[in-house]
Amino acid sequence: MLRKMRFSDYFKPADTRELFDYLHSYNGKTAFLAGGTDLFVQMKSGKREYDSLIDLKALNDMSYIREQANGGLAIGSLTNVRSLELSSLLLQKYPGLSTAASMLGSIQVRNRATIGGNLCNASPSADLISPLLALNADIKLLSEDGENIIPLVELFRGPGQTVLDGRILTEIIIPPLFNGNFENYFFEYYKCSPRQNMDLAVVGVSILLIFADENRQVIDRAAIALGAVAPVPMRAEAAELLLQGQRPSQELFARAAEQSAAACRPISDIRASAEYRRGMVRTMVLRGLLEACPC
Amino acid sequence: MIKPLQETVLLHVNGKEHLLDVEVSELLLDVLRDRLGLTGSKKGCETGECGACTVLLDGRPVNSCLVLALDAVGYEITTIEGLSPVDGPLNPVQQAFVDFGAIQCGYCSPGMIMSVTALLAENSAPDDEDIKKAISGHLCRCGSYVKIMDAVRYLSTVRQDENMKMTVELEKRER
Repeated sequence: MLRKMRFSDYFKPADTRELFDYLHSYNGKTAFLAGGTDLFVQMKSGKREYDSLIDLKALNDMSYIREQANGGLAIGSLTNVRSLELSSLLLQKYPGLSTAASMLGSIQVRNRATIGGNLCNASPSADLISPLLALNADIKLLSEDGENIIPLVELFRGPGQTVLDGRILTEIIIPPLFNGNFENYFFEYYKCSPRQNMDLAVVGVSILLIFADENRQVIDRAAIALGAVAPVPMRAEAAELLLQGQRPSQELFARAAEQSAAACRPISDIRASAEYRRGMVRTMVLRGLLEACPC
Repeated sequence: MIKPLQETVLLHVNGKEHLLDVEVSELLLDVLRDRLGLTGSKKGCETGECGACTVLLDGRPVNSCLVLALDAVGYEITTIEGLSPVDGPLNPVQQAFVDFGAIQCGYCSPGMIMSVTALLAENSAPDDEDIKKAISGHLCRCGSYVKIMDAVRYLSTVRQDENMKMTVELEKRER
């Protein structure tokens, strides 16, 4: 049963000074608000309760997608998911992230939901986490003491649990993948959900392969990230190692898919059984690898 | 710093300004319906899944059940009531829904029409895939999707014809 949200204060700081002053002076239980598409649903269902919300949307420009001089990419945490979906830069150079953005919720949701919100909500099935894990993304965190950068993978402690502790995620940093050569690589996101649109991932798989050559004869580096099949989004490291430095073959890909399925720790819930999830990890990893390199 | 539970906001809705006292936790949908009497936007699932409450913020469709009224300040808000004058003709999207019988109980229609309006504003001649994507955030429990697709396909074809005519006109003029 849904209930009316009841919080007594709403604060929209114009800069970080105002934000930290507010945090010092306010004694109640407070949460940061970005798009609200997850937070409000959780508050209405009674899962979370707060006395006040701090709306981050007026803080200095945290909505951008910028190529970096070093060949990497920086994305402001308040960039909405629709902007990611429509970005031609992402479509060209980071297709897995672009696909994941286009599969998150509906257009209405994507117009409000932000990349930072999707990460900080820390759902194991969050669509944007798995492609960013495959890209070895870092995140910039802001506290009163200043900024620090940590690997995205270290953000998550469990379903809905993060290490943030009052800090704000301000930026997502994607390191340069390789010498800026976007020809020799494959990057895609695969989502398994009962409904084609407007559904949570039962399994989400990101496959990133960097080849040593244009003919895709040898795999230089591989990243396989899995969503919704463990308490936190994870990488299938054993499978990645198996692929590295190898020539693509059906047999190799089948073993990597098997390794990925063995590494995940899915649960059974109303959406799918653990067995089904594990089976789909095997199928989807294999599908992705074969798409990267038909053999 | 104790602030009152209420705040005064200035909302721009359908081209008009409204100065209102709202509760800080009040949702845009409730303000539109209960304070401004704009009951065209419907309350359905209240969790952003059914799309019945869809309105446009600066032309972009959002679920008004997931937007705080306070957070809608500064946007141009458009509801179904803002698409055509009270006593005047319907706008082309509304008219197409009527003509094609794309309505059964009508509960999803205002939201659907808002999303289709936004679609046609950014894509003058959408194909079937574009249309399906645009309305994927809407549930119609009567199952009138087929007729809705027909209505939007028609609008898309009309646009294509208009574009064609304009191109021909321009070419003529250039000659």
